[in-house]
Amino acid sequence: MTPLINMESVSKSFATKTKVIEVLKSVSLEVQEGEIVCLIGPSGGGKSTLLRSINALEPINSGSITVCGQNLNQSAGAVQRVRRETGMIFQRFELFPHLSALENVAIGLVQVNKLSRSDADSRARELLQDVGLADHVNKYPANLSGGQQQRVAIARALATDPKILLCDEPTSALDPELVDEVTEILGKVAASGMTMLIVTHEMRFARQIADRVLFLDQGTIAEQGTAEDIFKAPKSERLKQFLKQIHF
Amino acid sequence: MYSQKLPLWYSIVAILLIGVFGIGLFQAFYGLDYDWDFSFLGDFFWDPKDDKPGLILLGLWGTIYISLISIVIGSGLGLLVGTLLITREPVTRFAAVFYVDVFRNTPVLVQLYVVYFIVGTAIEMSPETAGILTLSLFCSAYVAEIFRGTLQEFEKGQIDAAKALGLTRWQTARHIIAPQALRRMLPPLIGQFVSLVKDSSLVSVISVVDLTKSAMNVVAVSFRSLETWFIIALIYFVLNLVLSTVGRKIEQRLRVSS
Repeated sequence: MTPLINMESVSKSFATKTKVIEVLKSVSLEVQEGEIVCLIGPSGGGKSTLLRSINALEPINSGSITVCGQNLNQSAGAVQRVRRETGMIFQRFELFPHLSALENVAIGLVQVNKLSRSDADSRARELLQDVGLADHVNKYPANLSGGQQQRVAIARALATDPKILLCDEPTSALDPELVDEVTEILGKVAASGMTMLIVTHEMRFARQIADRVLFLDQGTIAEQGTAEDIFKAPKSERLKQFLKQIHF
Repeated sequence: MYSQKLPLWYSIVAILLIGVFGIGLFQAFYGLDYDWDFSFLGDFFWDPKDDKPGLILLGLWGTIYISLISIVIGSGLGLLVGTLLITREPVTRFAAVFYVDVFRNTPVLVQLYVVYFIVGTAIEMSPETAGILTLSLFCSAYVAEIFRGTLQEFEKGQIDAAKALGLTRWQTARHIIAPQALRRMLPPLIGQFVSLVKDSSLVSVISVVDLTKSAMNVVAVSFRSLETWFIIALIYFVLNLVLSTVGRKIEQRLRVSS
């Protein structure tokens, strides 16, 4: 089976005044359809950069990335097609503050999928109902809690029927008591057969949901395996130390 | 919102201060020992002899007309220069920065003289055209700065979200950036437009018929400068009050719809 995402020796670096920082050092990765992959590791390890390179929010210096059969290096058109096949959830939600919850979810349907206004609205209503926000469709992001905003963001990302859902620290900006409402919904999405890549610091969540866990450190995939392997029997010294540091 | 009640003596102090200021002002006018008479101004609003608008109304029309055209041209040009200010192409950007600096850091009066007497002589320009051109260029420099600031402050996260959704650059600009940028730009823009209406009084020096020029003519005929300038100031005040109020109303409407 051809993998849905195929990264081959992807490198990325940027120069500061004093030195060149390598964020990704020749990383290769294959993700199969339906697979749930969690990315863990210390900050600055390259997790977010890896995730953001998959829908070309972060340009890479060398290597190649193929998503849903589209090679990202090839053309602007390929980038646009990949972005239509992927949804993304951000740490700080990034809802559009001038649009209501409903409009936030509907905008992709109208602009990208070219649905009519009324079709888009009724589809958006369904999606918001699925994330438990049927009563809040007309509220603006400023009037929603962090957990509610992130649920709107999930509905928005799912609206255009993506094949892959990219989640960049989806619960890091939430108050502790709001984390569960978001992880619960992501769990449902995972159960529906969605292919997901999740950068997370919630180790319990990663352990529950992941088919495969990647430990990224200093720009490389330092260790990978099933959730059991990674959390119960870490092999490398660095991973052992990381898990110890976060008191897992 | 949590609001705290202020102690009563704050208001008492305020009333006292305003009272002292008011008495001072009254004393100053009373001490002038001047025989105030506004009645003659009626004829300058509406000319009874020919039954047509008088000097002041003509001047008011001139001010409105010149300001309005300058605001429209200045805003359009300002948006264009504003986008050039953030282009990555260095030569264009430098030229745009230079343009903005020249028009923001020199007096409008000098700009007006240069445009009318030097450029205007070379390519034959009426005083009105020279006035509108100068005010438009001057206005565009400020609008460009306001536009640049708003665009550069725009949250990158929202743009990432729009890209990730698959919106094109144009769709992002049209549906995500523009509505929010417009709302943020409105208060500084209205301030700039009010300023421009006042600055438009400078075109009187190249004998364009505006409110200020009319006032000068009325004074020359009537010798009643205090009353004339008082009324002219009042007209400018009302004109700008209308402009700011409309601006505030639009601002409120944009906020309500968000």
